[in-house]
Amino acid sequence: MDLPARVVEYLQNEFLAQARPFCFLIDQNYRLIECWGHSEWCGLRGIKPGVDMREPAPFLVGISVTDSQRFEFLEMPGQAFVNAHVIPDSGQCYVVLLDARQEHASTQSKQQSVNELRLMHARQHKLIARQRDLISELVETKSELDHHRREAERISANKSRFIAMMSHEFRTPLASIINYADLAREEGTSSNDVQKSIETIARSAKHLTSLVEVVLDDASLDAGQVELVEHDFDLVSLLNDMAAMMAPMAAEKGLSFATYIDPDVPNLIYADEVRLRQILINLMGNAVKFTLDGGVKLTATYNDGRLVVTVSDTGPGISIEDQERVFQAFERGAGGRLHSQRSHTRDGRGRWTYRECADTVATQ
Amino acid sequence: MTRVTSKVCVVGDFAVGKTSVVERFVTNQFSEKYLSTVGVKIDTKEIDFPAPSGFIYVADGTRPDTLTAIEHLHSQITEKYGAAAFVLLINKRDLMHDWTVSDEYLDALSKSYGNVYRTSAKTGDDVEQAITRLAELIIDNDMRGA
Repeated sequence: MDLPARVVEYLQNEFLAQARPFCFLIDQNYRLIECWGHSEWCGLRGIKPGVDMREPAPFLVGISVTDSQRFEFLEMPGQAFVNAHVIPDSGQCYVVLLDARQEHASTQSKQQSVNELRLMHARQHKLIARQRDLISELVETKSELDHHRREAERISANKSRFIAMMSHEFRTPLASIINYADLAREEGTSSNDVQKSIETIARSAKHLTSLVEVVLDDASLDAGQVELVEHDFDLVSLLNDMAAMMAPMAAEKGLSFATYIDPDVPNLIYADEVRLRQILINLMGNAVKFTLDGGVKLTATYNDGRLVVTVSDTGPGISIEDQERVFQAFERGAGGRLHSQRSHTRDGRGRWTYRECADTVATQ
Repeated sequence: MTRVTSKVCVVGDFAVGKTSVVERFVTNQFSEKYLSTVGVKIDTKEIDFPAPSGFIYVADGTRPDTLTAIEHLHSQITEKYGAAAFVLLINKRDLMHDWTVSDEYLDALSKSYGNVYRTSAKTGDDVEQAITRLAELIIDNDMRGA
C-alpha cells in the first residue's frame, strides 16, 4: 500500500530534524555551484559559489566526482561528524552531508571500551609471560642452589671422612712412639734395642711431621695460599733419604723395595724441597700401605731437561674413573686409597705444576 | 614551486598512535589521553613538497602483533594500489624499555621495507623526519611516473 501523504510528511520531517542534511552541488573541478540546507553545524558556513570545495571539505581530495560513493563518520571542520554521500549527475556532482554526531559518539564510546579492554588484555598477557619467565628463573636458581647444597654436603662428608682417616693415620705412629719410648725406658733393655727404639721413634716422628704437612698443605691449597719455596738442594741425597725411610716400612710388610736413580739425574736441582719430600712420602707411603704382595720401586730419570720421579708398585692401582678425581681434595679411590696429596713435577723453568705427573701416578 | 595537494593515508592497528603521530606533525602537540578514532579523521598541513599520494604505516614497538598487522596491511595496499610510497613508523620510542621487538627483527624489517623509523609522537622524535622522507619518496615516484 502507499503510505498516506501525512505519514510520509511526518517521516520526512523526522528525518530532516535528525539528519539535518546539507547538500551542495559541485562541478568536475570541485567548484561549488549551489547549496541547500543549514551549513553551520558541519563547519561549512559562508561558502560561496565558485569556491574549490576541497578547501573547506578536504575529504574531497582525490575523490572521483563521477562515481557514487558513501563515507561514514567523516570528521568535518569543527569536529562535526557526518555521513557523506557523493552522487554524480550529468557531469556535476551532488554531495549530501548527514549529521552523524550522535551515532558517532555512541560508536566511539563502544569502540573506546573495546579497545581499552584489548589493550588491558595485551598488558595482562605480557605480565603473565613475564611471570612465567620469572618462575622459570626461580626454578633454575633453586635447582642451582640444590646442586650447590648437595655439593657442599658431599664436601663436608668427605672432610669428615678425611678427619676420621687422619685420626687413624696419626694414631699409628703415635702409638709406635709411645710403645718404643716405653720399651727404651724399661730396665733391662739392651743398648742395642734402645738404639733401635730411638731410630723407630725418630722415623715415626718424621712420618707424623709429614702427615701434619699434608694436612696443612691441603688446607692451604684449598685456600689458594700455597707459595713454593724454591732453592738449590741435593736431589740424589733426598731420594736416598726417602729410600732409607721407606725400605724398613716395606720390609715390615714383607715387600721388596728398590731404587733406581738414572746417572743423568743432576745432583743439584732448583725446586721446593719440602713439597717434593711430601709428595714422595705420600706416594711411597700409599704404595707400601696398599701393596700386599710384591714390592715398591722408586725411579728417577732425566730427559730433555725434564725430571721424572716415578713410584711404582704391585698394588691394586687406581681405576680410570678415580684417576680423574685424584687431584681433588679429600678424595679416595673406590679401593680406599688416599690421594689428597698433590703430585708435582718440574717444568723447564723451575716452576712446579700440578697434574703433570698424573700419568706417573696412574702407573702405580 | 607548483602547489599540489596530496592525500596521505595513515594506517596501522588500533592504539598504535596514528592520531598522535599526525597531531604531532600537524600541530606539534601530544595528548596522553587515549581517544579511539572512529571513521575518517582528516588533518591538513602544508609542506614544501608537491606530491601525489602515499602511506604512513604506524606500529607500536611495545606490541609485536601490530607489526604483523602492518605486514598484512602492506600486502593488501600494494595489491590494491600498487607500489605506493610509504614509510614505516615504529612508534612509542619513549617506551623503548618496554619494547618486545628485537633489534635483529627491526634491522631485518629495515632491510626488507626500507625507511623504517623509531618514532615517538609523545616526544616528537623522528616524526618530522619520517614524514618529510615520505614526501621525498612521493616526489621521486611522481617524477619517475612523469
